[in-house]
Amino acid sequence: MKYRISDMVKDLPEDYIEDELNLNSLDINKISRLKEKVLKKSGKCNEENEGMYKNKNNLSIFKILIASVIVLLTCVTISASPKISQSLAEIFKSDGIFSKKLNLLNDNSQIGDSNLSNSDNNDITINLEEGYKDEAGGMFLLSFKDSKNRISKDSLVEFSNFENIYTNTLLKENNNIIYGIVENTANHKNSNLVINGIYPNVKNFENVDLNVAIIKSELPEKEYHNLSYFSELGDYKSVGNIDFKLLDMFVSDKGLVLRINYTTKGEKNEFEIRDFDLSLKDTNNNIKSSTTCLTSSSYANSSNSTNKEIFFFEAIFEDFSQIPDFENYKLLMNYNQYDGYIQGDWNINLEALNFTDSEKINVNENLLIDGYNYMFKKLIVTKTAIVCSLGIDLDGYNIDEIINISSYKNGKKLNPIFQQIKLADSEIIIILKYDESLNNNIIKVYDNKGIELSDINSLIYKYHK
Amino acid sequence: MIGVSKIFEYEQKEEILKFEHMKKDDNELLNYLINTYSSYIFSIVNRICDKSCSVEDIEECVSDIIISLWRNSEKIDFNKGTLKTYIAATSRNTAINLLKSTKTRKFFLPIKEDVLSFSDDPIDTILKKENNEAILDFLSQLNEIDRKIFIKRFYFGDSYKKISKDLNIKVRIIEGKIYRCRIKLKKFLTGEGSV
Repeated sequence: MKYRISDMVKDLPEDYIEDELNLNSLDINKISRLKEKVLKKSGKCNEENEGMYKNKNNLSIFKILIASVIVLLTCVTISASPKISQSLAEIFKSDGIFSKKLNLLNDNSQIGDSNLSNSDNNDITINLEEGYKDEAGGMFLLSFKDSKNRISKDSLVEFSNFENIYTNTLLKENNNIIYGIVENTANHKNSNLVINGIYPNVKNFENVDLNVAIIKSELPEKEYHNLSYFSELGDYKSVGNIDFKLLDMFVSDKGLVLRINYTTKGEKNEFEIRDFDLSLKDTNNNIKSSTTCLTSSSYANSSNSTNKEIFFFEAIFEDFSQIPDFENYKLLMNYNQYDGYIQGDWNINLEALNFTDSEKINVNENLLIDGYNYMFKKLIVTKTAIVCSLGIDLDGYNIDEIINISSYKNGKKLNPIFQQIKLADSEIIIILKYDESLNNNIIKVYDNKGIELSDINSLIYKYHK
Repeated sequence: MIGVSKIFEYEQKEEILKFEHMKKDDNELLNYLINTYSSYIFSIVNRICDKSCSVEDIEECVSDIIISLWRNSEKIDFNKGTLKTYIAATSRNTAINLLKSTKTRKFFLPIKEDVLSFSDDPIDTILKKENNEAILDFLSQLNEIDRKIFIKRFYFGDSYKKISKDLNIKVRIIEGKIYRCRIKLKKFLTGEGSV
């Protein structure tokens, strides 16, 4: 069963929300205007509107004629309007979606222009590779080149639009250029996208001596499942201002379980560790990896404005049915942290143009991914890219998930330069772009679990020039 | 000495009696709703729609809510909560519908963040039988900051940036707190642990 948290909280009592409300936001003028509106509406409801509701299915021929003329005029107007103002759904009904030319803040700029209004001399070049924008927002493929080699794949980019700040992870590294996708969700057509800065990713791989060789078997069995052993407490490893500590260790029916925490301290708490893995390396350099998950955290705010947050992880090594001989093992810790924010000020303003050299294929099959029922709506193959659109059957949601889709050509996995996802109202768009042309090749698309999506016949598609 | 809960109970009873009395006269009820609750309704709709809708749209929405309350006054069930709670829920729903109609992305939270999945269905009973008791229990156990963040995000649909600005906390810390609140809520609802 799935529940929306936003639904669960819908009946919160007033005590919980009143702090958030500005109860004096209505002045006398507004109240009297509002009163006028309500009284007018209530009067209409009693007299005209109620009658209208009752008779709403009995439109006269005259009304139908008027409506037809309006619809016809609207159609003519829309077809004569530039496509850039259309909604995504409307664009999908047309021939093109994928823009090829872009206008940046710097007039006459197009794809390939670099140094996008960069006000700081921080040796990072941002290149706009592709972009798409409509009234619902936009999606831009940017390449980043850092002459000081501070950023890499998995670095975080912080960007903002008219109303929000977002972060995105850079996706792909190729010849010292990293590609990333930035989504602009502003519903304001002319709002700019600003790259605020970048968090470089620091890869850490540590041999951590957690004193696991000192093992005791003292604790009661019921508390620790099939407890066999317990490590000495209190040993920790410090990395920067983070302390790692082994809390306990035991064998349960899940395997060997290590509980570990890390503590961040400091006023700013600038970074967290998001990816965290433990592995055991034996004397023959064989490595056994664990599955690791965050189990809980606690937060303390001390009087001297130093914040302290503790994150608790549980690492499970499934292959172990008993405590291994730790004298023959090293415990390895692999984690990423984001630090050293690089300030930036790159502004992008885009105008989407249609890409017409494409083939569009209708797909109307449902597809279950991760428990959500998606529907393939449209699929477009361009010279160098596959663009497909997924809908979702949960009403009221915007899709905001990344679905990894691999693709194969003639049985061989293709290596897309990048994979990008356009998020729009109730739609997700996936764009796979390749080095080589897709001319006259049959592409099959697989999901991230290797299931051939072409089981749905319409997902085998062919590009004809 | 009368306790706070007793006073609250009296206030509730008084509110019900007043409302029941007003229901007898259509005009009186409409005036009562406008004079007593228009500010409250406006503040909720304005808070949710924020800068995504014009003042005119918000005023239209508020007047629709008042008309709807007036028309449906017979259906209000005081056993489920106070009149203010009912009005707040109606206002919030209508405001969200207004946002939907403007096709703005505000309020619609990412599925990954908003949806909690359960393999069994232990909370179905909890949620249905005890209404929102479970969620209130959960909120009461959160610390003040986490509770504020949770309500701002899931009740009002605030962006991380707005929450960050309001509470003077870094966006990435807000993200982390939301993530951990979700885990806590899931554990709480499945009875796997307290907050």
